[in-house]
Amino acid sequence: MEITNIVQIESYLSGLMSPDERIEFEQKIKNDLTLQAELKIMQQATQLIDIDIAKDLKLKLTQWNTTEKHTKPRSVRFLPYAAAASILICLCLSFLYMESRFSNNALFDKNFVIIDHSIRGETVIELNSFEAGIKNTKENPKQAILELEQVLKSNPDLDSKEKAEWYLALANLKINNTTECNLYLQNIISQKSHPFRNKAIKLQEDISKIWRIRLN
Amino acid sequence: MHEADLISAIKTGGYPRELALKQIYLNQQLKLNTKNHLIKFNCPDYDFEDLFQEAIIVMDRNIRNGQFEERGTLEAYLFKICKYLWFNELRRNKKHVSVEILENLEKSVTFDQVQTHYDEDLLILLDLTLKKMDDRCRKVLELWRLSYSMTEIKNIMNLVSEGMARKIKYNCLNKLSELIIKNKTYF
Repeated sequence: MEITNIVQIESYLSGLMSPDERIEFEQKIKNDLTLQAELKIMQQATQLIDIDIAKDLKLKLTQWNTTEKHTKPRSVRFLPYAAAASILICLCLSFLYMESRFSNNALFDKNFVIIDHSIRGETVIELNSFEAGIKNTKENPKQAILELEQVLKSNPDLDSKEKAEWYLALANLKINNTTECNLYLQNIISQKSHPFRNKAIKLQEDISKIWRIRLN
Repeated sequence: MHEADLISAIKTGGYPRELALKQIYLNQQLKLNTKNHLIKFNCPDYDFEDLFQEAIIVMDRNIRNGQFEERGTLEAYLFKICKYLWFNELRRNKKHVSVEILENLEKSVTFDQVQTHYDEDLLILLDLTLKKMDDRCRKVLELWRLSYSMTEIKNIMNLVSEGMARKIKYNCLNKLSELIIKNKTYF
């Protein structure tokens, strides 16, 4: 195909010819069978290129779609992590809440009340040792344990003995010696007439709750 | 880009066309609106994505060929194409939709403005001609058809001059014509 023909046909097909040029070219086509055939071929060629363009565009659209899907939903990709983090934060907060509500310290604070014993008329030595033990239960529980055990060894009256048992349980709870604390609580619970029996039962339940939470 | 700019960019061809098409295609609101329209005609999700792509291709071709009349909005035009494509799909593949939906579609689609499916012979000819040509030729012809300037073609194809780009284009076009003539004997 002649280059001049290609140029003319191209201008004709693209609509770049002026009306006069167009009429002149159409006249030329009528009289020139070769040009007619070449025009048809060029029409087909452009049609084929157009199909190729369409196929190429289809590929591009799919590519854009994929890129968009991979870039845009970044927030969605992080969604599971965000959800996991939220759950973790919730768990931590609830643990802290539980910890503040059900820790050994919290249980101790809940149960520790200084009971006035001076009206009972114990001996001065016993009173001092006992009083010191009870007072120390909060500030110096280890010292309190020694003093209260001393009270128990000195065969006090029943009332002091029962109080000493209860405060020993609390002092052990304060230093997180749950096993020893439980032994004292068991001892208290086993005595049906023990004045601290109900408190001991409640405390033992609360301690069990803490362990259930921790183990879960 | 405004709608008029988008149309103008597609007509300009080259990089502006690609940018405009990308913007139209990735416009989620436009996609959603078209989808919502088509749902009324029982078009499922898995068919819609393909249909929407096909509609963009048709829209691009019609705008470039001057078949798009700028009377309505681009969205309306795109929806019109989608509706036609869906109607065609239902007819060709005999998909299960109610007669009422099919009739509604038939009434509302305009047939003369959308050429979507190519003649089978033309597709075979494509395989025997353009696809047989080297990548450089195909690319140059494609760029030329998409109204890329000779300077742009020169830059994209790493050619030494615009004259070289023009020469390659004519040679490739000539080669394609020869291949068409050669393979015409089969049809």
